[in-house]
Amino acid sequence: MAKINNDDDLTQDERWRAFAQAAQDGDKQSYSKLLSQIAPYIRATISHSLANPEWADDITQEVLISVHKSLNTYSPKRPFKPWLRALINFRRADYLRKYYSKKGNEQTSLDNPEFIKKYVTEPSLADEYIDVDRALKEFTDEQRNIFTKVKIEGHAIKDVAEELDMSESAVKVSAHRTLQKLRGLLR
Amino acid sequence: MSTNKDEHKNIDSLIEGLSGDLQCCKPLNCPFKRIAPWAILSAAYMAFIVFFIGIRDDLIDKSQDVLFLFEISLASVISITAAIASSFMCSPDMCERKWIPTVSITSAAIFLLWTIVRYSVEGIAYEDIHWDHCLEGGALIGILPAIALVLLIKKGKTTAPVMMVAMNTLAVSGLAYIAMRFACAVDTVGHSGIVQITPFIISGLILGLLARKLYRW
Repeated sequence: MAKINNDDDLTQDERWRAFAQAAQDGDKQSYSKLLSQIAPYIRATISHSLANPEWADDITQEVLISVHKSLNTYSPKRPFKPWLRALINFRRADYLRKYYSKKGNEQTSLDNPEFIKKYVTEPSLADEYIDVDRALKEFTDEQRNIFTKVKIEGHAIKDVAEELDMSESAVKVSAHRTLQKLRGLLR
Repeated sequence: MSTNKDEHKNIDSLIEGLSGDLQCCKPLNCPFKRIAPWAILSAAYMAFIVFFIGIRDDLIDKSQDVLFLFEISLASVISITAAIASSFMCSPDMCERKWIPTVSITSAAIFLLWTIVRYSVEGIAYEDIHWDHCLEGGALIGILPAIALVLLIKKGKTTAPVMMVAMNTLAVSGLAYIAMRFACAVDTVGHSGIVQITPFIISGLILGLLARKLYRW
């Protein structure tokens, strides 16, 4: 076992490995140090890959709880970081899966101030989103559907064409023409 | 800003709580050591059930049939490697051996290919597809090792529940397939390749859909 007292001589991974081993033996102080040291590492690892930075803290907490639950699966013979990273990736994927599956069932309106505050990137532009939403009502269902899928939701042309049983070029042309007309309406 | 501070406070209090709850825990044994008792007990159980159902009459002749031995060996490789992979996957990082499941997946793919080759040469022999006797035997052989394997796996924490269920299914299916080949004298593709395996594939698919619930932690 690496000596925890000589912190300076150890790499970060060796130090965490030693803390984890001590934690498995019931050393609460080492465990607290381990969790305190890995928390910023977890946050730094995930924050760049999340659409909403606020999720980082939620996921960090879930990873810390996972470390606690699965401490017995860590073997001090192996490096600590790959084990921790596996937990981070698992909990991040789990969090995003739950979030987006829940979001799929939620419907809201752009008139909802809470939604705008939370999800519209630039709240000052919220009125423009509402204008776009209104202007789209001037179009046929098909045009609106294609435009929404391609230009707003960002689906691939190929997927939309397959879903609507149309050719890819017809989808492209429809989305482009709707965009042109929309520009005219909003000018 | 205040929200961030609150969240950091939450993390600090969480760390404090988790540290307070800490109890000594023994690290899991090496994956090979962990799965060995399951493999030995399952093999013994399988032998017992085969004796109970009745060994096929032509087993001595069959033990000199190269194709029969090839199929049994391949099923053994699938079962053993899948059981080992299941044991490795008990650790979130798969003990840094992420390639392990590919061994049994490749073996299963060879088995599938072999079954297709046999089908193209021998035909499916529809008259030998009858579901009346091997289903009970397969269920009898598979159920206890399957429960034991799931209980063993649940002592660990997997980060790949669907793959874990796939490995569990291959481990138990391989075992049951070997046992049924020793007990049932019908060797046609339709019987040994479909009737004896399909129930395990269906069970595996159902469990696959429930994998995240089964191995949730």
